[in-house]
Amino acid sequence: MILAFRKSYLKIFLLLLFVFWSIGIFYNTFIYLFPNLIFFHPFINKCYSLVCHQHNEKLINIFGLPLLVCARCSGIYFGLLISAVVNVFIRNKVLITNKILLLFSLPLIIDVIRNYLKIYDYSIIVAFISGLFFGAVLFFYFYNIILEFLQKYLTEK
Amino acid sequence: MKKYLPSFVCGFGAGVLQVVPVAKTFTCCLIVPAAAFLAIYLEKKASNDEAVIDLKKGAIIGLITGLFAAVFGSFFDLFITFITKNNDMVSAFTDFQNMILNFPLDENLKTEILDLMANVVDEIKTTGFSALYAFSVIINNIVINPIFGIVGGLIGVKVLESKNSNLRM
Repeated sequence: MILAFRKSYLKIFLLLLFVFWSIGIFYNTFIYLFPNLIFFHPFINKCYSLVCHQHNEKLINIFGLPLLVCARCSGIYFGLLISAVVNVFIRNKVLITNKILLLFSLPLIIDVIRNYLKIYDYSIIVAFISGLFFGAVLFFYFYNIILEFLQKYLTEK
Repeated sequence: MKKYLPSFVCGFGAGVLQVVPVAKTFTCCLIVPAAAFLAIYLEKKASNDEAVIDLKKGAIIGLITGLFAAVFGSFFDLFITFITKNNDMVSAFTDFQNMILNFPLDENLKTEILDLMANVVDEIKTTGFSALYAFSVIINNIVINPIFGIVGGLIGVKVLESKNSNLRM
């Protein structure tokens, strides 16, 4: 019972974490609503530049405003977010093995390699979707690890 | 110190790669998690292949790797900026100006933010150092890298230990 209670807290905590992180990606859009946010733009932009190259041609534009991370990273983070939302509503454990994680990361890896070797031109849609698949599966893989970690160390105390 | 050697080596590597544009383009957000993963692999190799690394230790190794990456990443970023008097903020300033000018914001607000950024860019171009830029780099590195390090550490333990448990079976 206590564990189930903690599980729901963990699910909501992770959801809030990914919502918070994803909101940051739309920072440019939020400047429209709250103009004073513009003063923090360089700082927030630097934060996301640590985790993404932010090449102009690889950014998704919403209403003409670029997101703060590239299409592939956006896909990964939205995949994580979607899974975090789904995770709140499901009770059963979604078991993701290493093989499944590898399988879902293959489109992303292949796309990166093919772009790197210039076999085809960079496509924002392909990059986003391949990231989305990887992010969605990565969430459940990571969630199971966190759960195992907490079960082992917190319930023992 | 020997205890932290894998984290130190991998954190150093991640710190260097974070300021290399080509590496960053290729690996994106995976630099620090990959460094933490490698640190755990090296830790296993250094101790004993049979030794089991638990999640707690993996998280700690990931955290320390992230911290080393933050320290070295900040140092190299600021050092290269100091030497070259140029960085990604300076090169992207024209794009930033265009973006701000296209925002439907109050003209005073636009002027204020552009003046602020122009000061930072000027400081970097003349002295190679800006306190505001340094603050931004250090804080962001110290917050973001350890988090990504912990994620990489936990995933690293899971992947490497499941491989071991498969072998044991």
